[in-house]
Amino acid sequence: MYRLFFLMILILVFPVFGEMVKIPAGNWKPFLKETDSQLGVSVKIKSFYLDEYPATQKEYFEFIGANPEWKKGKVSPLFADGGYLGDWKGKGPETNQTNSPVTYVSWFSANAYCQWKGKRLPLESEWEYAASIPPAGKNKKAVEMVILNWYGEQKPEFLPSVGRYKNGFGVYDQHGMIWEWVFDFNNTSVTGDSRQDTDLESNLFCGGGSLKANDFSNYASYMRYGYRAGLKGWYTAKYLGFRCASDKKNKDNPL
Amino acid sequence: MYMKLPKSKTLKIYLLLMVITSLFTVCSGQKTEEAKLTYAPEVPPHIDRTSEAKVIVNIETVEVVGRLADGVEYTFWTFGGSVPGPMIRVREGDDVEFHLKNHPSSKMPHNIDLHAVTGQGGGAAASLTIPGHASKFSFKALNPGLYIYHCATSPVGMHIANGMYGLIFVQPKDDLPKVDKEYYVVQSEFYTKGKNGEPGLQPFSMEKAITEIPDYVVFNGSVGSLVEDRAITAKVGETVRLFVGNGGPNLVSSFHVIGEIFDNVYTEGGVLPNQKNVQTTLIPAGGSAIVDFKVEVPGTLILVDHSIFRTFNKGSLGMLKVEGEPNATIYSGKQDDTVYLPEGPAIQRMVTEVKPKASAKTPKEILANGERVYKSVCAACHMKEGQGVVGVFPPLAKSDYLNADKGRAIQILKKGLSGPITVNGQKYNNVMPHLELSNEEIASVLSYVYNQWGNKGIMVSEAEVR
Repeated sequence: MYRLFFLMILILVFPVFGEMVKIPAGNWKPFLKETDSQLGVSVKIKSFYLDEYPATQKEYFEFIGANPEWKKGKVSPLFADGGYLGDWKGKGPETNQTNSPVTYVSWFSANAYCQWKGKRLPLESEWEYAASIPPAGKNKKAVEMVILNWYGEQKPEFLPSVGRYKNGFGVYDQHGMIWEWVFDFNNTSVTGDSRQDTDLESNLFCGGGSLKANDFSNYASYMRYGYRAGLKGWYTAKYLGFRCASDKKNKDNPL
Repeated sequence: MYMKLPKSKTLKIYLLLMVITSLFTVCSGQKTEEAKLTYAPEVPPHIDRTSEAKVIVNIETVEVVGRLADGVEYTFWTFGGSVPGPMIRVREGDDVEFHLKNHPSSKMPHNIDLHAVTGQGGGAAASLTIPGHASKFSFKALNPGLYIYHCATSPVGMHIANGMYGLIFVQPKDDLPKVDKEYYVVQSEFYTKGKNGEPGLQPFSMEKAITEIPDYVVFNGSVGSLVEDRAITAKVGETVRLFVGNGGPNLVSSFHVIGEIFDNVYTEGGVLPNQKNVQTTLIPAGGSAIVDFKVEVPGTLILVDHSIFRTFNKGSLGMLKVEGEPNATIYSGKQDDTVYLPEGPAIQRMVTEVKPKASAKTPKEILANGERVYKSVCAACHMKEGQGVVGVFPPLAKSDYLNADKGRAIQILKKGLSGPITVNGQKYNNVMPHLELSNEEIASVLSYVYNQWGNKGIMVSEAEVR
């Protein structure tokens, strides 16, 4: 009964319905040199589909409705730390937050959400390739400005609604609002089973970053790689959300 | 979430834990203590223990909007909510257990590279922490000295440019000499979109940072953080030690204190006082220096980066206010201010007429002329009120030596004087030079002196001088 009432409210505040955007195939120069690639070599990215917006609070609330094992307080600490959905005071998001990106979600929960939608989390290379495309009629400098301004602005008490920054493909908010999970977030910080076991993420600290960067002009992007390197799958954080990708165009599950 | 236990049970468990931890401490033989952290300009207290200990350091990284200059705000990324971050003091040989906590409200991942650490990245990789998490790592403080710590998460330059640095002092076993006052000062630059002084919240400028042209060069994180009522202080006779760091990110500091000479400089933050009597010491970006000096006279000493346009146009200025009794033998302060006329031998007083002196006739004119001569020629040593400087320049006020013999006074003015004399019971052995004064000027100035400060009130005529 309570839930029905809640959903009524949600429908009344004009929710955003995101489409998936077709990302054409293209070449992308990895930001950091991988162990088995050479500096300055481009990687071919196959065409794929990417969510127009990051997953919103409202969408995530629907996911929980269908998958109660992901309710706040129900999830094993192995899959989400104590901060999981930490900004929800009650059972769901605040009414003025429904179109804001969902944050305080773990990799596991984001992955489960995308699977429920019949999608998947984007690969780091896919996410970065799409994110490197500047807005229509602008150059890469414009992308960096958006990132740097976000770094420098005051932290908002509440995240704004999605749909603020749009790139040339028509994908919104990859910069300037939140950090986003990718499927292989730990690929820059492989340890344990890597042959370079001793050299933990050294390319991300101190002077190391200048040895392996393919693109010095994109200085601001280092931070994303630094952020990913600090993550574990069960971590959640105030400014960490996600969006899904797919190999085919998905229609969103009807409610 | 913890379980609610009956009160008595909780108490028992608590007691048991107490016993266990105390036993553990006794058995391990090493003291455990929490480091006392201080905010600039305060320095943590001297460590008096003579054995090694385990020291726990807790620092939180937090992003805050704060004042960079009057009317100018900036989003600082900080250790401990301040720029510079808190100062850490440990002792050589200590085992340091470092806890870095990144506040949940932070946007950025942060970490710490302490230059005092022997080990990969100075702790950088071990301490990478995303918002809402905490990391722990440990190191042994092998090398004594004064070290910068800073955030080293990519892009490093940006984390430093936004304020993430501070100092850790590893106190040597072979202690530095005791001083009366210790202070913590860190120089750094800020790169803002707007020009220096442009009001409002200023975003970071990547272009300026890369070209290394900052609009602000400051001590302790903002313009004016060390001036007026925020100035550091000392009393005459005290020895002062400054722990000075340079956070950078780019500039090298020519650190200088206007009005003092560093008695000892521990160059680059090492523990050898390897240079004495230094005017300006160079502090590299990501480096430090320890300087010691004794303050001998009262006044305001000015801390600057002697790349001096930074001081006057970008903010690198601090103050050390010294209180106490003046000591004119070391420094007199300003003694006179006159108009300089290159064509005339005698110097005109600003307030007197500027035309060449007319021959004085009336006693009043004679005395006025005498005053002019006194202030321009005599006051530099004998002081404005004739009080002189004890032991150096004899007084003319209530002077027994002066009042005893008018003729002798005339001769001294004509020929000068050197050698030991006794004035008002005080011995003097100095030189008074022969002064280029006309007979009329000598007569006037002596008349003036004899009619001032409780002297016997006689006049001296030009004829007597001849």
